[in-house]
Amino acid sequence: MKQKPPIDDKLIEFRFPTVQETVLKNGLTVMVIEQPKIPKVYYRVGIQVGEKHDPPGKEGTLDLLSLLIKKGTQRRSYEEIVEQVDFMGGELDAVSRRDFFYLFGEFLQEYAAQGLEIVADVLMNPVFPPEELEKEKAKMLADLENEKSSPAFLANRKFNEVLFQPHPYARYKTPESLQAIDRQTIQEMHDRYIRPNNSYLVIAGAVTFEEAVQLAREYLEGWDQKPLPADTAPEPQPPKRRTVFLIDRPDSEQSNILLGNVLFNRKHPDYEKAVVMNKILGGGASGRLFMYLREEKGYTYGAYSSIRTYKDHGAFSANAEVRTEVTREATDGFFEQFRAMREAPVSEEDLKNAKRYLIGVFPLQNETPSSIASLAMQQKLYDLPDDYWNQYLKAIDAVTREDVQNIARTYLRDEEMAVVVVGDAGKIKDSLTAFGPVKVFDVDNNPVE
Amino acid sequence: MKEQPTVAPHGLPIPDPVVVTEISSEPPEGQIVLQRLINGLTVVLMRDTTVPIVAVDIWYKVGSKDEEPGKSGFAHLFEHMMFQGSENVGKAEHMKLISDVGGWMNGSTNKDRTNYFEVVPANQLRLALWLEADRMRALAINAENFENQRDTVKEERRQRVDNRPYGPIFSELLDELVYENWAYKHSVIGSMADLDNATLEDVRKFHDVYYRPNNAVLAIVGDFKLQDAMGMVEEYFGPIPAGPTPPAVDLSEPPQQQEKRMQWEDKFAPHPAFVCAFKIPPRGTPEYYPLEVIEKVLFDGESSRMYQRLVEKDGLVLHLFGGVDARLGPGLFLIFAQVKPGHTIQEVEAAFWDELDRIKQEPLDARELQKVKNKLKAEHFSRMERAYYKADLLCMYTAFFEQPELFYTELDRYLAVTAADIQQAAQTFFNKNQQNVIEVYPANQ
Repeated sequence: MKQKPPIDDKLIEFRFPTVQETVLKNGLTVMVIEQPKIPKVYYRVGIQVGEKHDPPGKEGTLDLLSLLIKKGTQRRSYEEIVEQVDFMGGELDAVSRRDFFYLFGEFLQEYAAQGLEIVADVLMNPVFPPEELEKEKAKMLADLENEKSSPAFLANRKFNEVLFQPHPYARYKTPESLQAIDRQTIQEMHDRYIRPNNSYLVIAGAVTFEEAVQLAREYLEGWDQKPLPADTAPEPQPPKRRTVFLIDRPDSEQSNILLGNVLFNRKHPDYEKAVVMNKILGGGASGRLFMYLREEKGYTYGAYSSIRTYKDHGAFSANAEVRTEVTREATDGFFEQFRAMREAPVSEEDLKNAKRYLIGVFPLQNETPSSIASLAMQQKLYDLPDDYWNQYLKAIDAVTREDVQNIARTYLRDEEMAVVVVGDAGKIKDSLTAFGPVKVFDVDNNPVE
Repeated sequence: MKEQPTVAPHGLPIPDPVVVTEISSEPPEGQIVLQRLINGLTVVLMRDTTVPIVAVDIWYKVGSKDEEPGKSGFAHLFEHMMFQGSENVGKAEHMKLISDVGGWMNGSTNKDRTNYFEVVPANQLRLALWLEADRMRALAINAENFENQRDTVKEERRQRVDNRPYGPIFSELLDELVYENWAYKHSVIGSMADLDNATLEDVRKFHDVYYRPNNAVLAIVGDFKLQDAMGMVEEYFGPIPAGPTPPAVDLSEPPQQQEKRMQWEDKFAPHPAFVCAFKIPPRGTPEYYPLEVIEKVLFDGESSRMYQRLVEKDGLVLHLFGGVDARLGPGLFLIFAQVKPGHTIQEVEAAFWDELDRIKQEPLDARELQKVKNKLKAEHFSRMERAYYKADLLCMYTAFFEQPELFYTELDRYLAVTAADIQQAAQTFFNKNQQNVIEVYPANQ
């Protein structure tokens, strides 16, 4: 007889490391996580400006700002910046997201001070050289062109557009919006939002709280604060009844299906329950969507769902790439599985497995100082309670079968879903009318009659 | 035994002593514990309780170098068989068991060795060891699994080698061009013909000779108690019988006297590419270390010489990478440069040699030497942040060199490299009669 795999039934205990905090005179919040084992220091700046703040008609501004910020400052050329960063055994990078802007630096411990000085210089004094702007724009235009051949990209762009409009989460970059951006646009965005009173700095690694605060004062207290523009955005107005948005890619062999509805934001108290529900429904190769649409029906290579939560709003979504001829059946399969989640409580075993996975994976994902710094930053940027990460694990552990069913009933709203399909309209359009009115678009997002 | 670690000149705390083989109590964190079971399994352990996770990594001292002519691709095909189930584990169940507890796992085969690893929450160490021992002890070797995986590997070959831009270059063409000795001359993935000729009997023999405890190193790194971990290792691996001593392989290569050059028409490449490689000494030899320092000078970071020259200054190249391909026997120092439209392979080759001549003729100044050493330190420290990388380093130092202490001390060998060593290595190994060049041209142009 086969032996049973020796799985430990207990859930792993994990205490999130202590985060110490202070606020500088200019409003910059500094958080410090002492992790002395490896002689390196990590800096992570998180700023509450996102792509949602791009000036209307100039989508892509913050993305360009992130690419140009280390291409030269009032004190240093690009060559000097990269040589000095490399000299310190370092890395320096910036990235823009929907809600936030991040700058990362890491350096050998002995260059902790010089490293932060460069981070501060790049943050406060970038010059955005016009020739570099043209280079980055050209690359971005080429990327946009390439993305048109990606069904997943087209599906996500449409999904965000129809669920969130008129909120700025619905907007996206176009060749026209990129052409409308000049150095001035970027400079103004920097001047308005890249401010200490709008920012958090996490310092993690081989440094003490006192040393870290001293360094932050020395290099960042000279960063001028400024009143911030009011942050108002209109509420999303998703379709009131279920609608199919079909993006026509003639001769596609597959249909890319992405469906879902608007959901709460990251801070909502139902978040952890929804994460557990989602793990059972469609989180990975053990999820019901995968087991049904792939293992049982063979429609697809994989089918998943996710809880996407941002600062202002969120979305529940489910997706699969399926063979063209089973597009309708696969779409039905999603709705069947949503219905099953609402109609009956999940088994004790499914619930236990979901918790074991979610709690077990957490320390694995948070092994390094930079990943710990990232979580500390999220806690601030998403305005989560202090000690949130320890509460997160407890909240996951506390979820019940009834919770999971209630969450499915409240948030899986079949009749309000946007069903986005990228595929060969000639072959699948008629069958999709079963799910609601069908609106057809080309790959440039122009309506097709 | 001191409880407080001392700090090495390079800044990393090191335990004292670095390695222990006798254990009376729980060793301090970071200390390397080396154990050997009666069946010959080498076990190397290191505690690190920063995060409640544990990495289990097992290296079998077998790679494609051990394959006989006519049996290429065998070590890699066998790696696939290791996920097809064993006495107590169903087909593909290994992966599911690990991912369901929140862990991740994989395996890989190269010229010199094959590895398998799991990273799991600390309380699932037993599961990981049980899974590894079950397939070492009683792998499910049957015709169905074998046919199925042979097809999978052939499909993998089609995807990763035959139908991918520049795919065949690093998986087979370059080694075929450079090496004289079959051991490294043939590819890891193997030829379609050899895969077709493989038999189930070959698979059984392979397991019997190479997948035995006496040919493996098991590393455990993370949050565990030593007595518990060794108890589990004894329980699961102890009863597995030792195998024969695998045959030794001759890796020696004659010195290269003449340049070798080939043109390759690539059906999928969007742009031409320049590829060049030189043979270098085995990893771990004194002559090897300056070459890895040169890799940093030429290729690491946006301020590196080749990047600044070929990409930024001359604007000849779209994508660039290069450096050492370190091996147990003679390795390679190589460059791959994808040529920007409007420029030629000849221009790239000339600029590449210009930079090689510069490093041969002018010693590095103090700042640049310090820069590359700082890069090496930072890279080494980053690996030490993760249990899996630490386990993998311990396996390598133990399996290849029987010196796990190199985990702490090898960095000093890099940091001892002088400007004169670099110049001498460049002069010794980078000469035109020693170069192996592949000029890659898009087939339809």
